[in-house]
Amino acid sequence: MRIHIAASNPGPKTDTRATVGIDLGTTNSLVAFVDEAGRPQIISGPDGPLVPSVIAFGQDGELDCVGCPANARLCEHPDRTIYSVKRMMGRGAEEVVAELGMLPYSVHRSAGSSAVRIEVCGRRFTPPELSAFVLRELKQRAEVALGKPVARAVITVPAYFNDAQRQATKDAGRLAGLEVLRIVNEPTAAALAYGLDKRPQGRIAVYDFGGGTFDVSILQLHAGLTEVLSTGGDTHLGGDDIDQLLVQTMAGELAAAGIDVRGHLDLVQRLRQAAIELKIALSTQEHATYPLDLAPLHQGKLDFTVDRPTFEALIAPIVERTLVPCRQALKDAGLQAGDIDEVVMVGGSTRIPLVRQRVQELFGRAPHVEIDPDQVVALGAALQADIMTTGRRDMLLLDVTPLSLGIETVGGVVSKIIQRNSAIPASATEEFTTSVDNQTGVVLHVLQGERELVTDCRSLARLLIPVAPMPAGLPRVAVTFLIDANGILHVTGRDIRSGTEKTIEVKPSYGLCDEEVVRMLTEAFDHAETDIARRQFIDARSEAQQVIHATEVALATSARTLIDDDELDDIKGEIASVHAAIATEHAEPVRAALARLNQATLHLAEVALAGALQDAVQNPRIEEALSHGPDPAASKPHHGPRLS
Amino acid sequence: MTVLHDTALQHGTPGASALLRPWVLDEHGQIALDRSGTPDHFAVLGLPRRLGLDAQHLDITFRSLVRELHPDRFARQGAAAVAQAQRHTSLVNDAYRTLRHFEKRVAYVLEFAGDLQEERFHPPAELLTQVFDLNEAIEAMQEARGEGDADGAGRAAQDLRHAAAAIRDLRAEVTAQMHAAAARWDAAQDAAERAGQEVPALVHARTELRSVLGHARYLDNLLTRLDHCATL
Repeated sequence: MRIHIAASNPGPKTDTRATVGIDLGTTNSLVAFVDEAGRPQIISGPDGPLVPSVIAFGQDGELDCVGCPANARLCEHPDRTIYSVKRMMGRGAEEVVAELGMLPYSVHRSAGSSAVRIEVCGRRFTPPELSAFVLRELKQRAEVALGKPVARAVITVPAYFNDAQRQATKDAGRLAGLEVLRIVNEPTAAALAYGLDKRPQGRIAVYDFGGGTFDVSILQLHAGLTEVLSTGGDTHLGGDDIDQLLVQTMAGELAAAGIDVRGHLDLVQRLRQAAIELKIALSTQEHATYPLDLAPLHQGKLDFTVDRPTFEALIAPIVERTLVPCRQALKDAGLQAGDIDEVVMVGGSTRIPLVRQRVQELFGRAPHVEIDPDQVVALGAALQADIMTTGRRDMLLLDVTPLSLGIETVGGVVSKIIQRNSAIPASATEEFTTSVDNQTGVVLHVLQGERELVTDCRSLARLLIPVAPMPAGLPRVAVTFLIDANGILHVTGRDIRSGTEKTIEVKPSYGLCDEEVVRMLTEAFDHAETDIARRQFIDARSEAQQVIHATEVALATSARTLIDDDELDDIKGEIASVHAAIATEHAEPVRAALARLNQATLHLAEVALAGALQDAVQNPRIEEALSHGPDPAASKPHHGPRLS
Repeated sequence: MTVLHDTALQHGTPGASALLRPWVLDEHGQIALDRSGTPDHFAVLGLPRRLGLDAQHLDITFRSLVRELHPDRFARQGAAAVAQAQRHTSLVNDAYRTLRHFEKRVAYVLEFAGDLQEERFHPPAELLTQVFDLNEAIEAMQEARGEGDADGAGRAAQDLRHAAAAIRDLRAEVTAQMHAAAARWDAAQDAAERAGQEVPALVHARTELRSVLGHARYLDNLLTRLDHCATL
């Protein structure tokens, strides 16, 4: 894959490089663009629109694959398959352990920086580096679909993300070779996507319950201007918590039956998979059953059945927790629930009927679910990218900062200088002086949060403000804190006596400093060539695996009886060659072997299709007829062997 | 550095953002601050320095400025243009946030004049009596609850509600007083601008505003405490 170093030549209009909108999610990520007609579109890949935010590494610690194929490795290699990176962004090592609980990989705090490092097969990665793998996958997907390089992106974050988490996301973009035009809040992006088709005026509440975070924003629309009035949320609350709760319940029941899954990483992953499947099924069904394979602890499959009332009773406290920030956001906006004209639902967890019911009760109106809750944020991000790059839309987003910014004063007390829910960019200027003669600097501790004490707020950075040596109390330095449109802090100091101005380096308490990002970028550039080859091999391998799988599925159907043994041997021989080609770890042999396999299976595909059509006459569910295979994934039509 | 005083003559043309730069930025292109480091919010929005602002007019002015100055409008013009837009928009946002609420506007006018000392507010005798009653009701309620006396706690809660209602009435009166004082400050500001210098009426109006604002904050603290008791 090509690494594009950020815009050395920011030429307007004549740009042949595309700009995309990216929803970098806890569980899944998406990429979208705005077409010639001005409509935002999701860019789908072979596995559909969602790219699971999962990264799988090989035994050597080299990147193996990202997205769906990586997701499939979770149970097989839990120790080198990373998920939920978003929950680690901008956090310290202790926090990550507390947040994610038992992790199958080790977490480190490296010297010189408090940013967390994740160790995989002897290599250590920061969360932005891991997220960059997902972003590169999305970038690549967009480049293939759009047929041109993608250099710039708007990336979304939860509205309630703090400065460090936003900065980490921006760093991830840079590491993936993207110029990050803007960091946009997810609920705001969703409102933009809805606002395109909806009323030009009015008040909107966006309820965004995603995989790992919960956000709520109250917005006011005035003819193209989307003004955020207030925002609230919980960065520790998401669909993951529902999964976790189900896993605990299931593990408890298993323990009661004498099966202890603790310490079996692969089994815990299987339980997690089961929990997700059950949760999804219960959004449309009253009962759901999942056959759980607990080998080697237990022979045969155990059927887990959950009914909706039990599920709802279990998750009710989590759903109630989301309503607290909703009430607070209304209060902060100076509004009552009845003042809201529209409620918009975002995030996969809003498919849960109990969630919809409770939101409807709170706001007294049925929420909008017209746009796919998984896609609406990426669509809005693409719109924002279009607003910023084409100038063809009379639309503007005016967002707010979710957390108050403060500085430490005497006695460990926080003095707030920019209140939460202030429209951004926002600034505050404070004047400082010295307390000791010939002091050459003033150290400021900058924090984010709503509490009064330093220990209860989030440390953002310590700043060293340079001061010309003078008797105590004489120097006068005006320090301006600016929260930019991305929600990221910039600090400038100004000597009032001399008038000289100076940008002050913000040394983050949790995150990467600029030198680290530059070093990582250089490393990524050095690896760019091998990355491209690796990437091509990985793509070829996934395609080959799909075709082999589909062929095996077809051979398990009645189509097998319609081909002779010679043909069967031929096919088996070609499958073996593809496997041998994969072992070389090079793309070209795999592509060649795959072409021969496709040739050898042409006839099989024809008879399988004919048989399927015949079955379809008796049974209209053609997809089911096509796959009698054991794998539910095979029911997706695109997994069939080259049928067309 | 340009220092803008509360008596500085400014005849703002609402929404005329083309005039924004000479007002807001000094000769070095830097943000003009007053002596305490506070930017001139009225000048930023191009509005006359008056407390009696028309809320709708303020909203419209804000939105038209932000549409024109927001950094997203400059994304295609390079980093320097974006940085400048960030600064300008932050000033517009900060000004709007402060001026849109009447009481914040009053506090800002005093602060800008260097006249918002942390002065202890001395409540009048009748207010002190009310506060005394309030404290008794709170104590009675806590005591009754501690003893598990539901009836007693109910009666005390009733007393507390009456006391709180009286404080709220008083708070509404203080708001009305603040509006009257603000109107007098505006009139004095008119006179000062005509005279081209600070007039005694303006100093007097500021003293009055400071006192009313202190009264209002005292009552707000009381009400916050009452709300806290109500949630216990």
